[in-house]
Amino acid sequence: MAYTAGADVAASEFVDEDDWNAYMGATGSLEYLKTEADKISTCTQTRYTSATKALATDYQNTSGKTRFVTVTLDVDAGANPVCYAYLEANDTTPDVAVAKRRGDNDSGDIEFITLSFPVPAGYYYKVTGTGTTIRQWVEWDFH
Amino acid sequence: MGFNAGASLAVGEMADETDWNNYYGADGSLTYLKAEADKLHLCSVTADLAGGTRVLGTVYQNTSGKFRIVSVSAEGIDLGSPALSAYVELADASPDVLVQQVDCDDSTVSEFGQLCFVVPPNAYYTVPSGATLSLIYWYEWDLC
Repeated sequence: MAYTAGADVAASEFVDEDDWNAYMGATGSLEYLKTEADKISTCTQTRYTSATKALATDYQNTSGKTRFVTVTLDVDAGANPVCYAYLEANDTTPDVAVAKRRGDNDSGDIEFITLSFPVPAGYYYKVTGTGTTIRQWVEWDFH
Repeated sequence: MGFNAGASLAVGEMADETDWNNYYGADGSLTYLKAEADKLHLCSVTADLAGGTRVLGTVYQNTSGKFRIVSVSAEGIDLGSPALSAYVELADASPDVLVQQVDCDDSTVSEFGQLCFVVPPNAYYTVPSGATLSLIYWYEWDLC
């Protein structure tokens, strides 16, 4: 299945089976576009943990799709860390901060904080948070 | 390049080159739909708009024609419990529908909060200020 670019026919020119099939045949352009249209509502969700994602580590969105990332951090007792999300297009070590949060767990109680941000296709991203542990790291890839 | 609305043929009517080209020609409907399909994965992101075209306490409208995701990071600069809040509403230039809120209490250390919320096309949105919040980052992503 593939997309065939449009081509005009001239007056009096016959449309033969090759023309027809290229656009409306079983593997023609309409089938291609139907497949693409059916993807609009699709979205994959992947949940990671500290075993499969790490803070202060550079990642790239290689899905070819727009990604939405939500990271929930468990703040260490007695810590009050400043946490960042970084995002950059053409830099494998992204250092443009797009979000900033602070967790305050001086009391030693439970403290969770969340950073959320989209990652365009091809972009690099990173989350930092010294004094925290990843509780959930979830990524959704939209079509 | 444009999209031509479908038109049925009557029994016995012949499709001519104009009919064909409208839908399958170089500038026909299929070419239009392919161009639209190719945009599905696109997402643009702004530079940091904080303090430039975006400030706390001002109402904005999403006129991009696309879904927008907004991320706002701010610092609480008050010993009370300032809340960082986002309001989004369609068809109301004074949006008062609260969609997200985080605490920015800086009673022990300075507190940084982040909001990340969706703004539909044409909707209005605002992040109020008061005297207790200082804007740090404001980024916007437009989905295609």
